Amino acid sequence: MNEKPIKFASEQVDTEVNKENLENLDSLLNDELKQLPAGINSSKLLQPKSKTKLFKAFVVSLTGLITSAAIYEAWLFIQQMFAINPILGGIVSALVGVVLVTGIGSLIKGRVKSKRLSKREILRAELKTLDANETYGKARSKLEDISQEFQQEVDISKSLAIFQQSAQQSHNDSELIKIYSDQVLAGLDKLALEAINKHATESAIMVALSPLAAADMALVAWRSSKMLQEISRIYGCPQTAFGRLGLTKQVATNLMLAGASELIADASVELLGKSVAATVSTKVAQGIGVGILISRFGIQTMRLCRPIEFTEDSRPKLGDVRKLITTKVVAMITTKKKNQVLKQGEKDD
Amino acid sequence: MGVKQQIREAVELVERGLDKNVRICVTGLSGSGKTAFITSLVNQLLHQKSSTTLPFWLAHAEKRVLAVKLIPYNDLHIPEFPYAESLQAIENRLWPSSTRNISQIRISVKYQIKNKWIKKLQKTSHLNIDVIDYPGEWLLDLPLLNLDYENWCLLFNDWVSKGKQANLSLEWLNSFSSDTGQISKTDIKGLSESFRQFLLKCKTSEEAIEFIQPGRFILPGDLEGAPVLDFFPIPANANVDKNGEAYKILVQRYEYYRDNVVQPFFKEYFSKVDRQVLLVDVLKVLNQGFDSYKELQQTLSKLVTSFNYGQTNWLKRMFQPKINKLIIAATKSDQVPPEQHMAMKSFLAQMLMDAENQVSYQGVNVNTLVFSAIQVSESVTAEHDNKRISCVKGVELDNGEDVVNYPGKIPVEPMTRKQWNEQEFNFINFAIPDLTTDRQLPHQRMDRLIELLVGDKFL
Repeated sequence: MNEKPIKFASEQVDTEVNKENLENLDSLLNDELKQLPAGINSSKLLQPKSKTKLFKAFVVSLTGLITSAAIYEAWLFIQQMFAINPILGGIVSALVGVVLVTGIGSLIKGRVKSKRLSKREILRAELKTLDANETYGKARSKLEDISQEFQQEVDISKSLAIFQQSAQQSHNDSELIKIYSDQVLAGLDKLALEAINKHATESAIMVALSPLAAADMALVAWRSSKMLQEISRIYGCPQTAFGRLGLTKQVATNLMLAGASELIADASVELLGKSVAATVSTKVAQGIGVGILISRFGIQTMRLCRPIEFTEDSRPKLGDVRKLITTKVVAMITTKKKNQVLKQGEKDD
Repeated sequence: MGVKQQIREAVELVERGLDKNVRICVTGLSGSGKTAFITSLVNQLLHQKSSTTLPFWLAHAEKRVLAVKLIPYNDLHIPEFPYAESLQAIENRLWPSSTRNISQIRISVKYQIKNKWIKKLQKTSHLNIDVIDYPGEWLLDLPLLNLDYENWCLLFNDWVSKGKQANLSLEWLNSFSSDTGQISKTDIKGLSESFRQFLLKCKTSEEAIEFIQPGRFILPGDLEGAPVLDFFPIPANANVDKNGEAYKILVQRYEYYRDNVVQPFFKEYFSKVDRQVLLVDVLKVLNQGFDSYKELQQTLSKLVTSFNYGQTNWLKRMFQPKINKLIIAATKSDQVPPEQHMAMKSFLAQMLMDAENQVSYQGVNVNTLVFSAIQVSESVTAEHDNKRISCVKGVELDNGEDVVNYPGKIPVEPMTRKQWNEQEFNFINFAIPDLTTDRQLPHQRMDRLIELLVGDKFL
């Protein structure tokens, strides 16, 4: 309590316009946490340690073995080539060099972007606490970092400009996060939803038309993997093939863990979709079912990739996607049938 | 009978729904920034089209607001809010003149409907926002409604004998003792005037006494000079014949004031209000110290009880309370570095916790907010003793000099009397910089206030 007020004449003191990282305001407890017992929401089950030390050692040594074998092979190969002709050897070694550099380079680059996804979870938690505590001056730099990540994949210059215009010096972290979510992320959400719509309807139609069950499964796997890639790219954390596998696993776990209410709501939507479609044909109903599953996948992926949690209002609703899929598939199938009838009529003529 | 009344109420409800009106009353003690707030509110709404600084007004962020204009209102007996004059004052780099009387302004907002059911019936709709401005001092007259003249005198004498007002009242009390004989009819005018001078002195003195009855003696509005204000309580030391003519006149005038000034005011303005905004200048009490803080706290608690009419049945019948939202807002946040806004908000919430409880208990939705209607300073960081401190920069109102001010740190926790004495604050009133009024005025959180006030009305 000894912070005395000070007044300077304007010329005496150098000032700069405030942007970020001011003196920290004493972090306040979140209002919800203030209610006792405070610990009630803070306990959390830790992830089980899935990989034992032995297994890790095995992986490391195996990788070492394969790499050394590969280096040895390459070395022998280059030597052989040199033995045949020095020019040939030179070309081959140059090729090996280029392969190594580009390969490792792209691997690292992909890895860096891929890694962003795992950072997103931490970031989301950080932004959530900032939002709840109404601190000042901490969120801006974080949001700028996120924007940079987005900008590598998506053109958000316009919405970013609007955000920068609306964000005032006086806004605290909570307000900034809300504005950012409304002005910048809303656009990305829309893109992601469009992608989900596209992939879900495509696969719904494909399944509805395909005659083989095995082909259906392959289709679903293919389309959903494509969709995951697209959504993760939209949110600035594109996944490598390997990372996509991890993401798929995460999404699937999240789908399983989704709250019961959500499940019930989703299930009723599915039932509704099917019952409408089942009047047309079972195959169509299957198609719609698959479409809805894929869109659920997509929405869950959005949730994992988004740096700021969805609010109740901004949460994408499965119902919207469902309606679109149903109408599209049903419309397509009925026109197809109509065409068939017409063709048959022509033949009869 | 009961059914009939219910039907009538239902019809009224539908009409209200179709009417699309919302009445907002703005009040606060003098100097809390009512005029600046309404000027800025109207200004923000009128300039919404090109505005980029209203992200929290959802209907606007969704680009659903089509057009806004000022329209004439129906209550023709209420003076119009001087919007044009206020803007002109701002253009001339002066703060708009303060609220001395009741006034009203009506803004009509045309917007696109979002609700998917109503959208099927009509695409666009409009909302008429009535903003009514009146001095908060008038609300302090509410207890008078239950008092007759004799009891009022007793209460008043009790009040005068205590606290800081006791010193200030000496001069007024002396004017009685010099008058050794009976108070006659002809003395009333002069004694009333000295009574009024005493009340004004309480208000303007450094002690900053806020709880002053009767409120119109300080801000008479259109009653300036009217004989209804020529009365006073009889102090304990005065010698008055209760059967005399002078006493009868005093009783008559008091009752006239109570029945024809105070009661109609409450009846008229509280029977129709939908939302109430209470503006509070917390920085003034931080500057002035513990005693002013307590005084303001008590005054505001009393003032807020007048929003809380549901208590007794006869009052309920009379006023039919309709306030469903109360927004308590601390003004002039631009005098405080933004990182302290959160502390300012919790200071406000702590100060008015009791008042807020009373109102929320009645089912009124209470929100607190920190905002600045017209932002006249800039937030900057300055280097001092090798420490970076965040300050505000602006033109000081008193002497017109450019200053960078660190006003002291607003505590997050409530302060004890000792801490109040140790902690110094220096919040400076800033002058209006060179602004154009052809675009929206700079502000802090006006958009949140708009959303809280009328956001839910944009279906």
